[in-house]
Formats: sequence, structure tokens, C-alpha cells
Amino acid sequence: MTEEKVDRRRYIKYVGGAAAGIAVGAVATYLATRPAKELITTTVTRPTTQVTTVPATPSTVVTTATTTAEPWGGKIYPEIDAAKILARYGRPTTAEKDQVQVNVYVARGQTATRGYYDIYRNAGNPSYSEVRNVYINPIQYGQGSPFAATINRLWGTVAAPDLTEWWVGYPLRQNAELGQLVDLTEVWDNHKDEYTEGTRQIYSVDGVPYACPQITANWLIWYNPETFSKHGVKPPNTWDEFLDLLEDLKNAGVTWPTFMPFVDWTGFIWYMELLIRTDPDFYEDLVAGKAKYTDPPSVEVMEIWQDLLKKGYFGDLQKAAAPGFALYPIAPQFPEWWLNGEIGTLAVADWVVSHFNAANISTDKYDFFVLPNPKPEVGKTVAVEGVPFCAGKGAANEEFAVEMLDYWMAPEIYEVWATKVFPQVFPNTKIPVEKLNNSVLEREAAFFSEPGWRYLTRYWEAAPLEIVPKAALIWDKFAFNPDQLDQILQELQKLADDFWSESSPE
Amino acid sequence: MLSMQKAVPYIALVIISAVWLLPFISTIWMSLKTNAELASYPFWNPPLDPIKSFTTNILDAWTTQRMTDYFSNSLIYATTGSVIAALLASIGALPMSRGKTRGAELVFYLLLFVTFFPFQIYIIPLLDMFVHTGLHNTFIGMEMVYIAITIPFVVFVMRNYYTTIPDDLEDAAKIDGLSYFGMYRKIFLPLSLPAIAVGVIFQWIWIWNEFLIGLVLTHTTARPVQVGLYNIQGALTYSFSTQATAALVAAIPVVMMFLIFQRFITRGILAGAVKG
Amino acid sequence: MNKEKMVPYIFLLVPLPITFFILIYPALVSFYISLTRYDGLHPPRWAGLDNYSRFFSDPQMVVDMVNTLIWVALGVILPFLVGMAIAILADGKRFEGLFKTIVFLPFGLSGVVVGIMWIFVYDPDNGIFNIILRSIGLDFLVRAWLGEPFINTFAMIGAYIWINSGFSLVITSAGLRSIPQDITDAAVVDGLSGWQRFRNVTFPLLTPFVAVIISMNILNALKVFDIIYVMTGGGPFRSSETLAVGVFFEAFSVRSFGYGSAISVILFAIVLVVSVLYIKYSYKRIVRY
Repeated sequence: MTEEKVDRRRYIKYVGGAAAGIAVGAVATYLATRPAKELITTTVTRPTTQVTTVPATPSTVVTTATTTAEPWGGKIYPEIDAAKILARYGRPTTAEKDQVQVNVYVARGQTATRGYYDIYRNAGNPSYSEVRNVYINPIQYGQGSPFAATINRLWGTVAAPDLTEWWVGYPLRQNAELGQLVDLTEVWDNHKDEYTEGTRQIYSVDGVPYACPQITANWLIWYNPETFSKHGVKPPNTWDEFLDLLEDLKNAGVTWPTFMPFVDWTGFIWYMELLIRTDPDFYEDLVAGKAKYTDPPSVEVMEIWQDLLKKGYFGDLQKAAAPGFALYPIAPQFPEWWLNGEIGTLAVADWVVSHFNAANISTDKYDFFVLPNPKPEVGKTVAVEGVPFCAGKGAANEEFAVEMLDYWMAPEIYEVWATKVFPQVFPNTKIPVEKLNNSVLEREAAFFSEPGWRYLTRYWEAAPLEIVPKAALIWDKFAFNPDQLDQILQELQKLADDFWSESSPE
Repeated sequence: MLSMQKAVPYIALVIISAVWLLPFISTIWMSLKTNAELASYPFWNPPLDPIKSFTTNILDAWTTQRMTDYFSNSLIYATTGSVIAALLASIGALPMSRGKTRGAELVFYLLLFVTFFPFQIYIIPLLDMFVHTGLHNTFIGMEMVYIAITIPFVVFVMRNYYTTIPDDLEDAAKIDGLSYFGMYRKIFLPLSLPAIAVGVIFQWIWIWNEFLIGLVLTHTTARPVQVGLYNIQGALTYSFSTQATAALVAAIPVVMMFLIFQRFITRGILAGAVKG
Repeated sequence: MNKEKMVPYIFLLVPLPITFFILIYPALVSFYISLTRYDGLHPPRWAGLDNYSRFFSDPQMVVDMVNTLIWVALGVILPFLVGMAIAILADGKRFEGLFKTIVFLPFGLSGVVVGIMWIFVYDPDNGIFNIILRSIGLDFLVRAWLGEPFINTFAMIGAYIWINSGFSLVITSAGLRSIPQDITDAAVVDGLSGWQRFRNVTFPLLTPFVAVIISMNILNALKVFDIIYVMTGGGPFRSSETLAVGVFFEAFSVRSFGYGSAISVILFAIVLVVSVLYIKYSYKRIVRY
């Protein structure tokens, strides 16, 4: 029924009208979708020197109990007096209508899927939540979701997160400088004699703490003592012993003398481990942009790594790179491979213990050693991963969120968390180590309680977020193509240059 | 009696069908075992205790992994989204098919143009918009997105179908004194129910299967089933058998829709094809 | 103005607000963001065409383009050929409906479900694919199909063929059924063999249907995301990444939203160009009778 001849002018009129309509609509929608409160853009001046972390001071006594870790679900809660809570936090808000729900955003796979935060609801007799009428509401993102992207858009608005799991190091600095995080100096001062200065530094930016510890993990090399004894090898004390160990494991037919799926984010691990054990000062300069990936110390590390790769110590890379392994060691076959002795050594943080627990692998089947330094003259160094909680400034329940953090850091509560819920070598020095009930972790606590350790922030947090994921992938590529060492270094440096050459961020 | 030559195509078809069913069979096989069993025994070993393993897997997926929530979320999205989209589309398509309304062609081409945009163009701005307006992780937000995306296809289907309705009906309606809306309600809508059915079914399946937008715009409460399925990988132990079971469960509604409404679906595909 | 006359216009406008709010406005915003540098944290800063020039000098984008091309080439041709072959095989046979249903069924599954199923199929130790290879003696072909850089793209395309052949199958079947019997009979009488019949009679008459299949396949292959994301996430060190996956990676893993938007705009341009070219090309080639 339409006319065959196109009416040009009418056509142009329509298209023009449509375009105008779209333009008007666009402006209207733009105005309607502004954030409820603009991003707070007060900046904190950035000092020119990098603060290095202070070695931790010794912690408490070690026992030699060898009972296996209790699975989470054991209903052991600390006996906390209601009076104590009242004394500390003031009058309760017991009215139903005054009940406060503190939103806590969590994202890492393990902590996001189970009822880890029930500890808040249930700990104590009566529990904190019952006394204060303040409850925790966990909002759980899954792995691989745009968690950071979403939270970054919430900071500084009325919908800012009350509490959220976050990162230390560079991301913490970014958000702190934008004034989006609550200054937690008071909270840390309340617990001054419980946490060491070294721990505090990890969770601070230029000396001001903006985060509270949730999981503090040391990066170590793990092995199965049964596999070792089967092949007649021992944990190494020197670098040469480590090389011999790998050679022996390889000759014994172990599929992976050292297991590392080079998929996604894991690429940086070996570079970091080797670098902090050959030149930790250079490492700190590197992540701050003051040194280049093409400088000699870095090249040296790459050559060591290349040597390991070429000798085949990393085993079957393709098989390890299969789907699901980016979340290593949460691969489905991982428990099987571990128990069968197909994995010789594994470079991972001590949160792997919770995976072993979940797979019902007992403490006689896993243990750790610290990677020996290729350069023995470098002191005792270890990379630390800090997984903190941060409180958002301007959030609806900001004061209650801060209160929760204060409550959390108290020994009675932190003990339940760090020994039963998410076993780790905890930073709260007032908790006796034997509460861990895990011989391996207790040994680790003793190990690190000796003086002289230098703690370095893990590369993933220390270096800028614009560089890190891509750098990790470039290292993944290197693992598959060890001959391309020079190209890889060029790529890394180009990546770093692109970022550091601009004075302000993307 | 089948001669050898006649049998060849049948043999080929049987082999092809077997190959096609293999992934299903493999997944079902895995869901009948537990993870420990998969680790210790060869793959083709018959399941040790199929019913018990299967129930363990289902319960694990259902409770710990919260598939129930995601499943019901997706049911709501798919059902309400496709119905509302179909209604809106049937309304919008009517003027386009009658040829008497100026600008109708333009709107039609606009909707056509919009389907050229890949979803990746939307995810970044939508995240911003939704977080700023508080629609992030809400049912309303997700419904809006799903309805908006599924409208164009149904508009095409409806428009094509409407053009097959003869003009005399329209004239008769006018003589009877029906308003435009009345004409729509009493004549076009009832007559075009097959097309609407095609639209609803097609888009029901599409919304159920949607992944990327759900990944970006939700976390737990409004999360659709496919994203939930993907996130089963993220637990403390990654269990092949749980994931296999969950995948089967997530696929069952679609498979059922497919088998029951197969005619509609093929008709829909051909309708979309003939428009070319 | 006559109120009744307004009603059709109102009808026309009904689907527009939501379309505008979700589909048009965000696309415009995307175009805008592609001209800025934006990390989701600080406000966007104007960058002009920097992102686009970066795209053309980025070696990773070369990998992305190559992979996208591979996906389009194989993901369009192979499902089509397989689907058509099955359609011809099954045409007129007994149990035709059953065979077609089996092959068509995967088309309704989501990318996530298919990805997960095929992860199991390709598992190096326990996967059916390798088990079959071993059982027929092709041990040397056994490998970690999804873990090998670059090869895993082809493995994923295998899964894609599994899904999409059904689509071609359905349309080709309908096309075959639409060919009048007398034409095929005439061809037989004329002494044409099966293959000659197909080439000279059947296929030309199928061209309208083929055109549709190819165009739909091209668009779908360009936009594939779910399968790749679930099966390899872009492959070891982004070796199996396509443009569609690249947008997601750049935006959400590296927080370069400006660059990610630029890639999505380029992807859109490719879709547009391919569609227009295709319409022009196929319009001339379709046989009408």
C-alpha cells in the first residue's frame, strides 16, 4: 500500500525528526541517570618515597599438636559477655525498626559461596548481633563477575558499600586518594597491642590504615610429603638443592615437578617469587615504576625462569591450562593429582590449606617450604597477599560498618575466623597459635615468628591494575614460548611505559 | 527389503545421531557419579551408585550453590519478559503492517538497525546507567533489558504475520464502528496468536539462555540461571559432577520447550528467514 | 487533531521508550566512551581517536581479528555444509523427524551449557573425545584440546558446529520440501545423476534459503561470546580470544573501558559492513523462478 516513488523531502523530514527525537531523548536520559551523589574527588597528596614494609616482630609459642583441621561447622563460638559488648560499643539499638543491616560485598570464590559470615550473627552468647541489633548482610559476587567495576562505581555515592572485600597495595591507594575509603586509624589504635606494625603497614597507604585484615596469606612452595618420600627427596635448603629436587622429580616421571597452570592471572607468580629472592629492592622500584622490566636484575630472573622452563620442570603446560584451572588449585582433578603424586611442588599462598581441608586431604599429606634464594645473600623474603575489608565513606551504615571492623579485629572473634572458618596464619598476636589445630599452619606460624623476615606486597596488588593483568598474560605467553625472552621483556616494558608515561590515570 | 545401497543413508544417519548425542550422554554419565568416583575409576566404569550420586549432586547444586534461586529468577525473567515483549511488539507492529501510518517504516528500520549492535556495545554503558539509577541487580532492571532486546525480533514476526491478514477485515471493522484499539484487540490480536506464540517461545528460550548481560548486571539476588551455572566453578572445590548435574538441570526447561514446541520454533525460524 | 487518528501513532510509539532507554541511548554512550579514557573510577577524560589508533597498532588485536575471521569462516561454512548434508540424507526417509530433532536439539541450549558439556568432552583424561581417539588407535592425536594455544579455537568451533548445524538443517529441509516434485522428476527423466541433479537443479532452487542461513550464521559467528568465555576464557594468554571476548577483557579485567568500547564499536562496524555487503551480494545471486 505504500507509494512506489519515494518522497525525498518527506523522507528527510522523518529521518531528521527521528534524529532530533533521539538527541532530545539522549540528553534527557543522560540527565536522569546521573549518580545520586557525585564522586568525591578530594585527593590526598602522594608522597614521593615508597614506604617499605617493616619486618614483623615475633609472635607466640608454638605447639606440636598434629590433629587434623576441623571442618567448618563445628559450633564453637567464643563466650563473649553481653556486658563486654555493651561496654565497648554503647547502648544497644534493640528496637526492631532500628535494626541495622550492614552490607558486606565479597567476591573471592571461596569466601563468596559459604556462610562464612555467620560468625557475626552467631558468635557470642548472646551474640553481637542480638545485643547490638546490627546484622551482617553478605552480598556475594561470584568469580569472574565485574565485581571491581561495579564497586568502583559505588564508591563516593549514596550507595557506597558499607563494607567490602577489596585489595591492598595499589588499588587501596587509588581509592584512598580519591577519598572514598574510611580512615581506620582509630580502629587500628584500639587494637594497637594486638597487631604488629608490619601487619598494619600492609593494610595502610602511606602510614594511614584504610583496611582491616581478613585473610593474610604468605606465598610459599607446597608439596606432598608422601610423594617426596616415595621418590626419596627432601625439601631443599639451597637453590641448587631445589634444582636437584626438580631434576629428581622429573626423572622419576612426576607429571609436574612444579605445577603452575599458565592461564589468566597466574603468570606473574614465578617472576615475583624469583625476583624477590634475587633483588627485592629492585622489585619495589619495579612495581612503583622506577625501574624497567628490561633492566639487568629483571633479565636475570627471566633467564633463571627460562632455564626452568626449558628443562621441562613445569611439566605438561597444555594439560594444566585446561578450563577451570585459572582458579587453581580449584581444578576438579587437583585433589586426585595431588594424592597420586603427579604434582611435585606447587607455588601458592597458604590459603591453599582451606582447599586441602575441603578436599579432605589431611595434614600429613601437605607441607611447605620457602623457595630458596637463587642469591643466598638476599635475606629472608616472602610475598604477602592481603585480602582486606574496606569501609566506604558516605555509606548508609558507615559508623556501624566501622564498628563491625573493630569488633572483627578483636581476638575473640578473629580467632574463630582465622582458626575455624578460614584457617590462616593470622596476624592477631593475642591468639595462641595452637588454636589453629593444624600442624602445618602452626609450623608456618613458628617459621615466620623468627625475626629477620622481609614482607613484600604481592605483585598483583603492588603494581598498577592497568599493568598487572596484561603482564600476567604476557608471562603466560612466555611460559609457552620460552624462546621469546627478549620479545616478552619488550612487551612488558612497553606496557609499563604506556602506563607510567602519563601522569594521571586512564 | 532394504538393499545395501538404500541402507547406507540410514547407517550414516544413525552414526550422525549417535555422535550428536554423545555430549549429552557424557554429561548424564558424569552426573551419575561423584567426583571422587570420577577421579578413581576409568570413565567407562559403570556408576557405582547412580541414584545416590545423582541425588548428592543435585542437592549440592541446589542448596550450596543456590541454583534454586537462580532457576526461579530465570523462570520469572523468561516468562514475564517474553510475554510483555510480545505484547508490546504486537502493538508496535500493527501500524507497520497496515501501511497507512506515516513514519511506520522508519520505526521498523530503526528497530532493524538496532539489532545490528553487538551486545558488547551495551554492557559498559548499561553498567554505569544501572548503578547510577539503582537498577543494578534488580528484577526491574533485568526485565527492562530483556524486554528491550527481545522486542525487535517479535516485531518482525508480528509484522510479517499481520500483513497476511486481509484488508477487508479491517474495512469491516471500520464499518462496524470499532476504534483502532478495538480493532487490534478484537481482530488482529486473536488472529495472530500463532505468531505471538512463536515470538513468546523463541524469546523465552533466548532469555533463559542469556549469559553476558546477566553476568555484568547482577550479583546474587537477581542472577539468572546461566550465570549461576557458570559460577559453580568458583566454589572451594570444583566438582565436575556437580557442574554436570547443574548443567543438565539448567538445560531441562529449554529442552522441554524445544521438544514440545518444536513446530513453533521451526516456524519461527522460517518466518524470520522468509523476511529476508 | 482527531483523537482516533492519533491512535496508530501511539501504537507505533509504544515499544520505543524502552528500546530507546536500553538499546539506543547506551549505544550512543558507548560511542562517546570510545572517544575517552575511562577506568570506571575517575571521570572519563577526552582522548579523541586514541583508542582507535591504539586498536590498529595492538598486536593482540591482530590475534583477535584473526580468530574472529576463523570463527566467521568456519562457523558459517561448516555448520551450513553439515546441516545441508544431513538434510539431504534425511530427506524423505523414515524417522526423518527423529533424526532432525536430535541434530536440532543442541540449538536450543545456552552457550554456557554447551561450553560445560564440551569441556567434559574435551577433557584430556576423561573426555569422550580423547577416549574415542584412543580406542580407534589414534593415540598420537590425544592432547589437551582446550589447553593448547591457538588449536583450542578449532576445538571450540567443533562445539559450535554441534550447535548450529541444526539451524541449517531445518531451513534446508524446508527448502527441499518447497521444491516441486515435477522439477526433480523432470531432472531424473532427463538422465541427470544424483550429483548433477543436486548441482544443477536442487541447489540453485535452494539459494534463497542458503542466503538466509549464511547471513544468520555470519552475524551469530561474529557475536559469539558465551561459548568462548566458558570454555577457555580467551585461551591461554588470550590466544583464542575474539573481538567480542576482547571487549569484555579490556573493559572488566584491565579496566580500560574506553578501549573496550572502541573495540565494540569496531565490531559493530564490521557487523554492519558485512551485512550490507552480504545483502548486496546475495540479492543478485538468488535464483528466483
